[in-house]
Amino acid sequence: MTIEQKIEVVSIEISKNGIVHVVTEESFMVNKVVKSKTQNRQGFVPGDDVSAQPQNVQAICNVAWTSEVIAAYKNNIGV
Amino acid sequence: MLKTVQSLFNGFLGAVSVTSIEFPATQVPSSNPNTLDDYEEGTWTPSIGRSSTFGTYTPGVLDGGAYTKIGNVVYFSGRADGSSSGASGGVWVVRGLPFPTVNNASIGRGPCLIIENDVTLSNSRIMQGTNDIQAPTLVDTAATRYFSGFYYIS
Repeated sequence: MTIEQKIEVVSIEISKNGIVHVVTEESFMVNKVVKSKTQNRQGFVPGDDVSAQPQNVQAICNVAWTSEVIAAYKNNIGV
Repeated sequence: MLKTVQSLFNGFLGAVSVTSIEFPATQVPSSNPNTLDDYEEGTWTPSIGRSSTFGTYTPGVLDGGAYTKIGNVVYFSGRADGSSSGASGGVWVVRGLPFPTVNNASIGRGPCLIIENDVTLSNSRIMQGTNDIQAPTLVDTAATRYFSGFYYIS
C-alpha cells in the first residue's frame, strides 16, 4: 500500500482592489486513489511582503501591485 | 421524484447526486437574488500585523482557520497565537480572511468576536474592501487568540 500526500497551488485570484488569494489543495492518496482533499486560502493585500511565497505568487503580486494600486488600497482603508 | 430532481439539476449544475450538489471551483455569479450560485469550504491562514506596515508574523503551532462560503456570505473561525515584529502604523489587524470583504461602508463592515488570553477584545470589526479584521486593542506578543464571525463578499 502506498500513501501519498500532494500539495499544489490550484489558483491565484486577484480582486479588483489588488487583494491576492492563493488557493492550495492538499490531497491524500492511497494506492493512487484520492481519499481526502482539503483546500486552503491565504490572502495578501497590496504592499504585503510575499518574499516567502512561491515564485509564481511573487511574480503575480509584483505585476498586480503597482505603486498606484498600493496607494489606492491604503487610501481606501485609511492608512 | 429524486430522479426527476436529479435530471432537472443535471442540466444546470453538472455533477449532481441525491446526496450532494457540486459547484464549479470558480464561482459563476448569478444576478438572480433567488439563486444559490456557490458553496465552498476549506481552511485559511491567519496572521497578525499592523494595517499600514504589516511586518513579519511568526505563527503559533496551533494557528489555523476554517471557513464555509454560501453564496455571498462567508462564515469563518480561526486561531492565531503567534507574535509580530517590524509592524508599524495604522491599527492591529488579523489578516488573511479567505475572500475579500465587499468594498461597501454599509455592509462591508461588521462585528467580529476576538478572544485574546480569555479577554474579549473591544471594537474588533471586519473591514470593508480588505481581508482584514481590525483589532485595535490586540497585543503584539504571543497570546492565545480565537476569532469567529461572518461577512459579505461582493
